[in-house]
Amino acid sequence: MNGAGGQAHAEAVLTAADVGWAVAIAVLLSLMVACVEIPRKSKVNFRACLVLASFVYWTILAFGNTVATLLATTLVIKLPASLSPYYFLMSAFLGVFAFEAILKNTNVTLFNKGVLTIQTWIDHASDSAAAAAIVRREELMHAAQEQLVARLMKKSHREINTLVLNKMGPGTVETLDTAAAASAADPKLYKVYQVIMKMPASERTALLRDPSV
Amino acid sequence: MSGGGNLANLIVLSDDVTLHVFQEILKNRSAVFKDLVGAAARKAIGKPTQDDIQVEAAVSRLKDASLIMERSAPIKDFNSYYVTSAGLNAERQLQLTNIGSAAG
Repeated sequence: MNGAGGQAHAEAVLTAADVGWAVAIAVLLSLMVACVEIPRKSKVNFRACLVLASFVYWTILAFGNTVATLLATTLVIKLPASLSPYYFLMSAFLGVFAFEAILKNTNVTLFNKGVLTIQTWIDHASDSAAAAAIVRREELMHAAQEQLVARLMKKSHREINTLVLNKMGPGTVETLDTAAAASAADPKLYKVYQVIMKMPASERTALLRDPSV
Repeated sequence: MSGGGNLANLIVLSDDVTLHVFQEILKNRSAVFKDLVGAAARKAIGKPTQDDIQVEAAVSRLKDASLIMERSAPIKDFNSYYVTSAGLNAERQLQLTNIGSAAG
């Protein structure tokens, strides 16, 4: 990437193209970090994480990492000139992975009053992104549940009891009938909800795709 | 979240039942009422006959503190509760508090 690959140490400066590559890599690495961090924190699948707040988090992370990468470009040129073809890569790596270490204690101040550390800004953005992903998962799950409830409620009470028996074992029908009575709820609806709640997401999806249900 | 907000959350979570219910919701980031009552019963926090009343009061406190949100179902037992951004922040504060207590 560095056109001046084998030049002397003093001249081993990053070209504009190298800096551009370093920033591009930092932005891509930020995307990877966001793709790992949001599903980890929200404990939801990747699909539910595709919400606006996730892009806001990525943007904040990418901005911070870009600034750190630009700072790192001034450090990597102090490395041996033989490494100059890889300066752009090292800048991006240092920028992204040393970002937290460099900026953790950097305070944003207004009128000499500390507002938030940059780390806190990033934490807040990551919380918002994870919370938005959780809401999205709830919406998707709720929509699937409602469809399944509507379909299963068309079945007879006997068929529902058989389904409960198959899915949840003997004795459950009676337990659920008692619980429904205690809650003054419709026993059939109660059992349908219970069965659906206990199903793994993959089974719910398969059931929704099954036209015979 | 402001320092005052953190303090208010820590006060809400100083109640054993509320803290336990919040931790149950945090495990999978959401939980249904019936499972929360079951978890409280297993933990035997309160009097068994009052589990649902105590859990209802706990989720109400958590909702008031904006740590969780509720999605209503036709049957109360299947109401679901999921953690909010403030809840995730409170989780981090709790971890910090626990680390601080352990260190102290």
